[in-house]
Amino acid sequence: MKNKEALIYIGVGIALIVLAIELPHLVGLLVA
Amino acid sequence: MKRLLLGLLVLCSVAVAQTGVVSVERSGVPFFATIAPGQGAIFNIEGKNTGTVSFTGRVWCTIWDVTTGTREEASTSDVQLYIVKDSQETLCENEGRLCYFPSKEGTQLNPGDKITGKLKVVLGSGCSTSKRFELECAMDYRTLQGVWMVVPNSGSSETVEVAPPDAKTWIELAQIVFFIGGSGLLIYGLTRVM
Repeated sequence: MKNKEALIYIGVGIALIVLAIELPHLVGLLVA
Repeated sequence: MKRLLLGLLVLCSVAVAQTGVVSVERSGVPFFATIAPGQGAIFNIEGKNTGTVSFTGRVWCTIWDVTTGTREEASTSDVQLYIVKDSQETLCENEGRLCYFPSKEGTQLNPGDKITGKLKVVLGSGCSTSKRFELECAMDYRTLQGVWMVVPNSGSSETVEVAPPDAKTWIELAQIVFFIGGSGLLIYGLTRVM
């Protein structure tokens, strides 16, 4: 259970880092 | 028959000599994928040749306006190109927007020879609106008659987002917040697993 919670933190963390990297591309797509 | 075979052999040799590959890739991790006016990005130029030809790579920029769909060659107010060699930047020929590799005069290349170079692109004030920026590259060779010809299948391009200065500010800020937050959560999760 504790591991599951930790994995959620890790998953959300990775998702946020990926979002940070891809944010300009996503903004560019939205603007286009 | 022998002459026919010999002719075919010569034709095939010429065809092979004319093939080449040129690639343009932006170097570094694209943490800040957008470039604002006044800023620059480094591109790696790579080409290879399969025959003995006089070779010159030409690099230039095209600006693709996503709002109107128009695409035109970049002017000096849009971009300036620099060749980076041994950490020294040299403004390119033709008003700073057309670069030649490895030199303006062309260099003899033998089969298997590779050509590499670094190109810095600095955006001018002309890129003040949100545009997509495309760097195109082609391999040229010089014939015995001194005519410049483009090597078939040598075209290659890389696209970069050009953000207006005000948009870049909040995009950068959001990137930093997401990156720090994400790293924090990742480290916290990893420490709980350990």
